[in-house]
Amino acid sequence: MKEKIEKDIELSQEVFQSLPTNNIKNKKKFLTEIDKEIAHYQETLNTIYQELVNRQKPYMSLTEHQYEEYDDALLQLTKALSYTNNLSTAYEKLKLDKNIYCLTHYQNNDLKQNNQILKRMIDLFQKVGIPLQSKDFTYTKFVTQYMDSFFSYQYYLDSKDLEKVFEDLYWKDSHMILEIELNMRHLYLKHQSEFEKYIKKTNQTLLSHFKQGEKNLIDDYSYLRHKLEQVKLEDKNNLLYYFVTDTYRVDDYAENKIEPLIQKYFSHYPNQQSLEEVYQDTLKLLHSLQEYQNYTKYDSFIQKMKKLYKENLEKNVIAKHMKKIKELEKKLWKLNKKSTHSSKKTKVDKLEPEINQVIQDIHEQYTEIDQVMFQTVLKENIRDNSTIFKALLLLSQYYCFVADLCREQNSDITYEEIDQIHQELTSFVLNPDNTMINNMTILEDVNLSDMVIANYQLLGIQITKDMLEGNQLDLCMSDLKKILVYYQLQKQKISLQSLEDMKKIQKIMEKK
Amino acid sequence: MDVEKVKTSELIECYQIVQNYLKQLETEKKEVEKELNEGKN
Repeated sequence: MKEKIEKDIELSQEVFQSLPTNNIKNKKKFLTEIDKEIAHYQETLNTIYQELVNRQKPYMSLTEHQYEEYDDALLQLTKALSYTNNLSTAYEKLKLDKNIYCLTHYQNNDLKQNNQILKRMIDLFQKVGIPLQSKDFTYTKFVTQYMDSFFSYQYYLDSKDLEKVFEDLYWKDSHMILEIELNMRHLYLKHQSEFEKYIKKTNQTLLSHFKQGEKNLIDDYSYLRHKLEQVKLEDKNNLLYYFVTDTYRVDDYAENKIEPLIQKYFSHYPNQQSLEEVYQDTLKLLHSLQEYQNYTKYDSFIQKMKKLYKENLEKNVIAKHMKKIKELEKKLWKLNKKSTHSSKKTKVDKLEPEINQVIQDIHEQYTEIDQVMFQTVLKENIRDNSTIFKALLLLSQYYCFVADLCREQNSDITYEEIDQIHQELTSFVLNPDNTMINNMTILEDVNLSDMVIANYQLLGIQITKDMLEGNQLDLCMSDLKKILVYYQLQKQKISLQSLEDMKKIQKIMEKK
Repeated sequence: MDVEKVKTSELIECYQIVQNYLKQLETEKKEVEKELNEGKN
């Protein structure tokens, strides 16, 4: 067809070159003929264009596959794994620690946020079988008053009336949020055994359909993660979609570009190594580099844990503080009974300064506990020969400590950002392709980059120290991902020509 | 013209050839139109 069109155009050009335009009559005739010619070729162009559009339709109708069912299943398994491990208590598993942490840092929250946190905690108690009421909130009479209104408005927390109640009480007691927080901690301790029973019962249900209990959960999680990775790599729809949307550039996969790229890392290709073998080795190397990148990302967390593990800790320090809190609370209940506070009287209760002091003392005791909690947990669960994996797994169960570490690095960090970091940390720790952190102990001082280089050099894969630094590491991982894509293009028999044609048609359609 | 049987890469080339020729024809048409208008004036 191309030849015929070129020949026709050549003839047509000869005809028009020979047409005279020396006078008005000839010029008019020329214009009539050229209009006919333009109409003819415009029709030809339209016919070709329609056919190109038809061929482009399968690409245009592509949408990116999401993997929500996998993501949901992995989320459920992650939750189940956190429930069934023995590294944390009900307080952490049910995320009471996270809610208390958010309340503790209330200076950043508005009333709506604080009310939502409160509602979440009350719902948690309800879930465990403990329906809280305003009479459970007895830390101060102001707290009781506010919680009275809170329970009335719990389904309309945006209510202006509730806001007014809070504002009126806040002028009389500016530490009310702190007192509510301490009250919630008191309620948890009061009902701790019920919370532990709830977790135990939930675990029995979770593990009841597994013969090997928690091991099956871990195996299921690993299987699903691997399956998701495989499905994503082999997804032809998404592969084409990424080329359509320029996430992948067709030029990057030209033979004169991709072959040298493969040989940069795999010098035995293609003479002594097939593309299939390169693919498998690329996956392994990419997993190692991802593990290495994540390890360096969380290095400051790991170093902090090493420091805490090595530092001395007073024996039974938490028990001592808890005993002090119990004594102070006893004193507080007695003072509250004697208190002449009334919502109707405006005279300041003479016991108020003493009540405030006791509350402040309780607050200090809890602050001390919060400061040593993770170190206590670390020393209970970690030994000299414990792996980095175990230490990070332990860390991932303690939101508060992760949040503290995040805030140390960035005091302006938001809760959403902390949540994101926490999720990524958990995902990293549970990655079934981790090998290094599963074999390094917490006290070991290993140069991880040397380890990676030496390991892969044994397999004939060229990795240098420079490739593992900063932006170079990202570049390296991007190269390896290109090799994986290239392999899939070959395996799924998607020709580079077809992709090049698709991009050209895309350009033609954009210009029209 | 049986476009359905033509390879995509060839069809794209044909499109570009015809498009370029049409531009050429439009240019020639404009030149003669200009000469005609100048002649009248």
